[in-house]
Amino acid sequence: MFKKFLLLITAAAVSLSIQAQGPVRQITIDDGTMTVRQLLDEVERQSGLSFAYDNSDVDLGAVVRAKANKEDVLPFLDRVLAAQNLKAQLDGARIYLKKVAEVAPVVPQKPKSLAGTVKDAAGTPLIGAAVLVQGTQTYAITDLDGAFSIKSPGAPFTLEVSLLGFRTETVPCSPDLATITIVLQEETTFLEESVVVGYGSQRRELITNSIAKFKPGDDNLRQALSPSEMLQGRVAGMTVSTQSGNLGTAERVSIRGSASLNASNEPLYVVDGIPLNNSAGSLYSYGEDLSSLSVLNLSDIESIEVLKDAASAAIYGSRATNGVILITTKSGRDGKAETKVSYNAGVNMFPRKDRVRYTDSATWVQVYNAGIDNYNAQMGYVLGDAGYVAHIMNPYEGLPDTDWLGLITRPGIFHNVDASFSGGNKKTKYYIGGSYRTEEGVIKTNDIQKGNLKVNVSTEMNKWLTVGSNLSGNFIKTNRVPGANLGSTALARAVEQRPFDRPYKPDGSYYLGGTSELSRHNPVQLMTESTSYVNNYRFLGSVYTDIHPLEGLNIKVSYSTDASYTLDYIYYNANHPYCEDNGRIIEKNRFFISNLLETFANYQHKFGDFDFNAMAGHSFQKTVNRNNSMDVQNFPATSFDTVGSAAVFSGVSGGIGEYAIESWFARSGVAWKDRYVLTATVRADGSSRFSPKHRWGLFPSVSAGWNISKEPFWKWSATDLKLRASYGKTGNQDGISNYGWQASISSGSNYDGVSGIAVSSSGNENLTWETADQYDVGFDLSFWKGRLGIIFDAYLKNTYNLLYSKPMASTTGFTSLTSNIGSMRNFGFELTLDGHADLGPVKWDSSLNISHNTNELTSLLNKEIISLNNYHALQVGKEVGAFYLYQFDGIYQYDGEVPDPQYELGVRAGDVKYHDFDGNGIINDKDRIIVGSPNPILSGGWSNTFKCKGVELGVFLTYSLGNEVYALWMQGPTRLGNYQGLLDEWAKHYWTGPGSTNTYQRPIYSLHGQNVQSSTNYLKDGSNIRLASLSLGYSLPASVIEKLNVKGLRVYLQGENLAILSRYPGWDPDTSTSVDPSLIGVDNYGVPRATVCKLGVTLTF
Amino acid sequence: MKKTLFILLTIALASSCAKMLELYPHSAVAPEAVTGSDVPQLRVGMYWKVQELPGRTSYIIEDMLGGNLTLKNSTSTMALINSILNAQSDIVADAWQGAYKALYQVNNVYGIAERLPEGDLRNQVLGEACYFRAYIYFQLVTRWGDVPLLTRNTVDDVPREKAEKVWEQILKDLDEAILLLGDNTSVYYVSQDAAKALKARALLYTGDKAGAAALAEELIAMPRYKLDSFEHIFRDGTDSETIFSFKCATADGSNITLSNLFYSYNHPNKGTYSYMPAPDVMTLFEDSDKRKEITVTVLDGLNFINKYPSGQTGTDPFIVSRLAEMYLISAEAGGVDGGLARLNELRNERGLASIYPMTERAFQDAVMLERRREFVGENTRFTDLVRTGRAVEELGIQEYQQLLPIPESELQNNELLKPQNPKY
Repeated sequence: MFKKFLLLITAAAVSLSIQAQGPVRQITIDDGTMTVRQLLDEVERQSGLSFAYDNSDVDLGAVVRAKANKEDVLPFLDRVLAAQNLKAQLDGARIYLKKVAEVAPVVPQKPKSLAGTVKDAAGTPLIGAAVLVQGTQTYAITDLDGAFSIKSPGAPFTLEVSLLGFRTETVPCSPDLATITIVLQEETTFLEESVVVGYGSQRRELITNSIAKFKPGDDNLRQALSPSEMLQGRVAGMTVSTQSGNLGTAERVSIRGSASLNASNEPLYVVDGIPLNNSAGSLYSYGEDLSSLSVLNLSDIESIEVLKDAASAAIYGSRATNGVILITTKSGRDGKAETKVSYNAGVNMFPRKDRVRYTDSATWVQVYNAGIDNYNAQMGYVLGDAGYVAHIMNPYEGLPDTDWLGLITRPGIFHNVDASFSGGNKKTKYYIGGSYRTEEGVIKTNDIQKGNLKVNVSTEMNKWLTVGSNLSGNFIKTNRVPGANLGSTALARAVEQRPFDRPYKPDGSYYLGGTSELSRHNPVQLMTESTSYVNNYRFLGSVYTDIHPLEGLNIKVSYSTDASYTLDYIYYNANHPYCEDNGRIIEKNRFFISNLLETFANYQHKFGDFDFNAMAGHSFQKTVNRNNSMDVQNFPATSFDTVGSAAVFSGVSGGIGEYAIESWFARSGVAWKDRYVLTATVRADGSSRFSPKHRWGLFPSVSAGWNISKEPFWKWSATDLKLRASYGKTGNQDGISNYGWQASISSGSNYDGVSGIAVSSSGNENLTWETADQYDVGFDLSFWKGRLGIIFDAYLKNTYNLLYSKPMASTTGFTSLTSNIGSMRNFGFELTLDGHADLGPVKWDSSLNISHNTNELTSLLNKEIISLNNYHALQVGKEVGAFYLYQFDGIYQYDGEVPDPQYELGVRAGDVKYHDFDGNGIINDKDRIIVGSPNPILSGGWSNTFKCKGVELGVFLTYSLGNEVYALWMQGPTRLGNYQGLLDEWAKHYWTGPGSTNTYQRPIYSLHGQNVQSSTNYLKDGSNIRLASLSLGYSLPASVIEKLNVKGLRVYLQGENLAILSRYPGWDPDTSTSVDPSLIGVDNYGVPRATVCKLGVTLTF
Repeated sequence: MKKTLFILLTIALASSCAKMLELYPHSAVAPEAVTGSDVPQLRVGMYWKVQELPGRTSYIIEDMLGGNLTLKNSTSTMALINSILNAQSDIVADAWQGAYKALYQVNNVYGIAERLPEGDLRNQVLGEACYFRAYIYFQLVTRWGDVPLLTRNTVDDVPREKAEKVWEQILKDLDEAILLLGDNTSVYYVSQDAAKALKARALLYTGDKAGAAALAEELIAMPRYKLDSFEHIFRDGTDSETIFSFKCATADGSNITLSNLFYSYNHPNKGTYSYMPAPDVMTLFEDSDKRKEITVTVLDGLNFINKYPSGQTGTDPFIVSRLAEMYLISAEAGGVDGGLARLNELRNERGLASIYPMTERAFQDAVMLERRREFVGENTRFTDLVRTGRAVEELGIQEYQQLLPIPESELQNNELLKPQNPKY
C-alpha cells in the first residue's frame, strides 16, 4: 500500500475573488521551460482555478515545455501535459488531473472511497473543513463546494468533521457507504447569545451598551461565598476585594472606579428582578463586617450580567450610579429532566506564612536593651535615678520561642454538596435546588454553615397567561473571629507578641495581655473564651403573572419580597478580658423586609425591516427595618449564655427605619435590518429620603449601535464588527440615612435614669440626588467566526452633587452635615479579548481582560486638602483614596542635623527624618503630602481552559498593577524599642551610628513614637499577579458514561490562590481594613485570603 | 374583558403610592414641633450632651498634659504630652469639638427656655444653661486662650475672641446662674452652690483672690458640706463633699467609663489600661496619707489610677466641684498669712501633719503639692501648672506648649480661626 493524498491547493482569499469575478479561462505564457509545479502554480494564478490530483499520478518535478497565447485552459493543459500521460478535467472551479488510462467519472463507481459534502445549517457548502477517520491518520479537507473524498478503511468507521466556528460532529459510517452529507452546527458566538437587561432580555447583537456576562459553571466556580466574590478578575472594569480572608467578610465591589465619596459605593444587586437590600450582613462591627450576599447560593445562578455603563444601568435610575449586577437563577427546560449532584471537599490554608519574618528572642532582647541604653543616655539617667530604666532578660531563657501564628491558624476543612432537579414540558418548567456547605477558615474558630433551598416554577395556564414563582430560602451561620479593626483581633495579637511570650502559665491558666508577662492580648484566650456568631436567614421570593394578550405584547405583574432576619451574638465569658464579672452578652437582632410591586409591559414587533420594541412600567418598593440590641452582664455560670440569664442590663436599644421608593420607567428600541440599533430609556424615581421639593429625579439614557458587518459592502463574512455609543444619567442615594433631610430632635439623651431629648440633626432640606453623567463608546469585533473576540469600551463618568458629610466648624454644633457638594470624574477603558483555538487535539479557550481607570475629584468645598485620617485625604484635582503621608527622608545621622524644635521634643541622631516641606523645623500637618494611589493602573484577569478529550485544565490569573498599599501593620513591628514583636529585617539592621544605615532607625525606649509616624516609609507597592485558580477536570468519556447509565460524570481537582508575584512585604496586598473608597488600601494585619485545595465530583443523570 | 380589567387594576394599584413616600422617623421629632412642655426632656438631654460630647479623654486631658499620667509601658510623661500637643491629635480635636457641640445644645435649650413663662422651671433651666455655658468656656479658655465666643447658635463662621472677653462671659453667666438656681437637692444636678464653686475657681484663675476666697469660704461655711473620706467620695458616693458631679452612668448609655482607661485585664476591674500613673505620682503620697490607697494602687508590678473602680461597664461619677477645692482656693487666695489654716485643716483631714512654710513661695508650693495629691485623675493639673507659671519647668515642655493647638480640621473649616496658636 502506498499513500495517496488528495490535495486541495487553494486559498480562501483567492476563492473569494473568484466568486466575485468568475474564473478566467484563458492562459498566456511567454517563457517555455518550467517544472510541472511551476506550471500548475502559474495556471492557478492566471485562472483562479485550483487543481486536484493524486500524488502518485503527477510528477511535480518533471520539466515541461509550455508556451501559450490566450489559449483555453483545458486544451492547453492537455497539450502540455500529454508527455506526462495526464488529462485535465474541469469540475466547477477545480481542475482534476488524471492519468490518461484512468480517465473516468470523478466519483469512483466502487465505494472504495467515500465522497461527501459538508454544509452548514443553511445548506451553504463549507470549505476547509477537516474530515478525519477516527483512530487513523486518514483525513481530507473539503474544497470550495464543501466536497471531500476519503478512502474508506473497509470496516465500520467514524468520521470526525471539524471546522473553526462550528461544533465538531462525529458520524458513524458503514464501509460501503458511497456518499454522505454532513451538516455542521455553528458554535454560538458571543454576539448571538441572549443577554439579560433590566426588565427583559435581548440578543447581544441588538445590545448597544456595555454589559458583561458571566456564566458560572463547573470550570470557573471558585471557593467563594458571595456572587460578587466569584466575579473577581472576570469582568473588565470591575474590581472585587474583601476586607480580609476570613469567611464571608464584606466585599468592596467597584465598577468603573469609585463614583461616590460616601461609604456605600456598591452596585445595585438585582436577583430575578428583585433589587436587593444590601445592608451589611452583620450588626456589630466586630473589627470587620460581613457580606450581606454570602447567604445566597452560587450554584443556583444561571448567569450574572454586569451593567457597566449608564445606558444599560439607567433603567434602574437612582440606584445605578455604581453599576447594576443582574443575577438570574436557573430554570427548567422543556423536555429535559435532569438531576445534578455535585460534591466537593478541600482545605483552606493560611498562605505563605514565611512572607513576614519576625525576629527571635535573643535578637529581640538585644534590641530592646539597646533602646533602654539610648533612652537612659538621652535623658541623662544613671543607675539610681528615679527615671533610670534597667535592662531586661528573656524570662524563659533556654526555652524555644512560641509559634504564635501556628497557635491561631489551622488547615480549615470544607465540604459542599449541591443537588438540583430540573425539567419540564412545553407548558410547565421547574427547577428545584438545594445545597449545604460547611467550611472552616484558616483562623481557628472561624467557620460557616450554609444551607439553601430554591424552587423556580412557571406554567402556561392558557395561551395568554403564564404564572410562575421564584422562591429561595437561605441560611448562613458565621462563627466570627474579630477583624483587624478590633482590639481582640487574633492575627495581630498573635504576631505582635514578643518572641518569648507564651500563652499559658505553667499551671495551665492564661498569661494576660497588657501586663509585663504578655505584651498584647492573649489571642488564644480571646478565641477560646468567647463565642460570636451571626445567623442570617434570608427569603427571596416573587410570584408573577405574564399576560400575553396579543402577539408581541407581554405584561408582567409581580410581587416580590426580600425578607431577612439577622441575629448577631457575642458572648464573652468570665475568662475573657472584655468581661469583668461573670460574662457579657451583646446580642443584636434585625428584621428587615422589602416588598416590591412591579408592573411592566413589553411590546415587540417587526415592521418590514424594522425591529421595534418598547417597555414601560411602574414599581413601588418599601423597606422596613426593625432592630434591637442588648448588652447584658453577669450570668450564674459560664454555661448560661442567653440574655435572660443576665443580672445586669446595661444597654438596651431599638428602632425602626423605613424607606420607600416609587418609580416609573420606560425603554424603547428600534433596529433596522439589525444594522442600526437605537435604544432610549428613562426612569423617574421618587424617594422618601429627600424632602418633597427634591423628591423626584429623572434619569434618561440613549444609546446607538451600528452592526457594520451587516452592511452589504462588508466583505468579510467571518468577521463581525459593531460600533456602540451611549449616554446616560444615573443617581445615587445610598449615602444618606432614611431621614437625612429632616432636622430632628431625638430621644436617647438620658441622664440619671430620666429620658431626655436633644437636637440630633440640623437637617438639610436641599439634599438631593447624587447624579452621574456617563458617556461610553466601544466596539465589539470578532474574527474567524468568533474564534477571536475583542470588546473595547472607553468611558467618561462625571458625578456631581456628590453626597458627602461636609465637615463643619464645630461652632455650628455639628462637625459634619450631609450635603450635596463636589463632583468627580472617572475616565477609563476596558478591553476584553476572547480566543478559542484548536491546537491539534487540544482546544484552548482564553479570556483576558484589561481595565484602566483614572479618578479625579473635580470639586469639593475648596482647594484645600481635607484630611480624613492619618493616611488618607481628599483634595480637588487628586484621586479619591489618595494617601496623605509624611515623606520619609531617611535617618538623622548626627544630632546637629536635627532642627531645634524637633530636638526639643526628643528627636536625636538615629531617629527618622521626615521631609519638612515648609522648612520651619516643625513636622506637622503641613508637611504631609498627597502621594500614591490604592487604585491600580491596570487590573483584570486572564482565564485559560485547555480541553483535550475529556480532560480539562484551567488556569486563571488575576492581576493588579501600579497600586500602593499603606502597610499600617508595619508601624508595630518596626517600632524598635517597643515591647512587641519585631520584624527580623529591622531588628538586625538598626542604626548604630553615623553612616550605619539610612533605612532602619535606632531603637529607643518609650520615645519611639517619632519613628513610626504615618509616612511614605510604609507605603508599599501592592502590584501583584496571582495564580487565582488552577484546576484539572476530567469528564468520563461517552462510552463509560453510557455503561453507567448517567448523562455525565466529572471529577476535578482545584487549587486557588496558589502563588503570588508581588514585592509587597505583607501577606496579602489585597486586604483592606476599610471598604470605603476614600479609605481603602490600608492593610492592618488583615487575614490574607486562603490558599485552597479541593477535590470535587459532579454527576448528572 | 378579563385582561382589560386586570390591566386597569394594576395601573390603579400602581398610581396610588405617592403618599407612601412621606415617611418620618419613629424616634425623633422636628424642631418646630418642640414646645414649652418638652423643656423638661430637653433639659435632661442637655445634661447628657454636656457630659458625653467632649468624650472620655477630655475628662483626663489635664492629667495627661499635666504629667500625672503616662502611656502604659512607658515612664515618660513627655512622650504622652508630645503625642497630644499637635494639631492633628484626636484628643485635642475631641476636646475642642465636644465643647462646641455641647455648647450648641446648651444655647439651644437656653433659647427655647427663654420663651417659657416666668416661673421656677424657666429659672432652673436658664440657670443650668448658664452654668454649663460657663463650664464649657472655662475649659476652652484655659486650654486654648482666645476662642470663638457665641451665646446664640449660628451657622456662620465665628472669629476668636480675646480671652478676657471669654472670662467676662464666664463670670456673667455664673452670676446669672447663681441668681436663677436653687439649693442643691442632688449632686448630679447643677445648683446655686455648684455655680458658686465654679465662680470661685474662675475668680482665682483670673486673679481676683479676694472674691475667690470669699465665695470659697461661703461654701465651706455651709453646714451641708464638710470634708469627707476618699472611701466615701470615690467608692460608695455617700460623701458630704461633692457639690456637683456628672453621673456618667452606663445605664443611661454613657461612654465616659473612665475606669476602662486605667485598669489592665489582669486587674479585677479590667480595662484597656491605656494610661498609668507617672512615676512621681506613685511616690507623691506620704505613708500616712489617707488618699493614697484610693488614688493609686499596684498589682503584679503594674501601677493603676484607682479613683474610678467600676470597670468597663460600671458607673463612676466625674466630680466637677467638691469642698476640698474650696479649702485649697481659700488657702491659695489667702496666701501664707490668710490661707495656711485652711491648708492645714485639709492636710490634717487627709492624715498629714500641719506645716508652717516660712515664705509665700514655699506656701504656694505646698498648696500646689496638696492640689496635686488631692486631684490626681480629676482633670485640674495642667491648668494649675500653667496658671501658676510652673508648667515649663515642672513638665519640661516648651513655652508655646502651655496653650493647646487648635485642631487642624477646625482651622480648615473656619478661616476666621487663623492664625494657629504659635509654633504649632
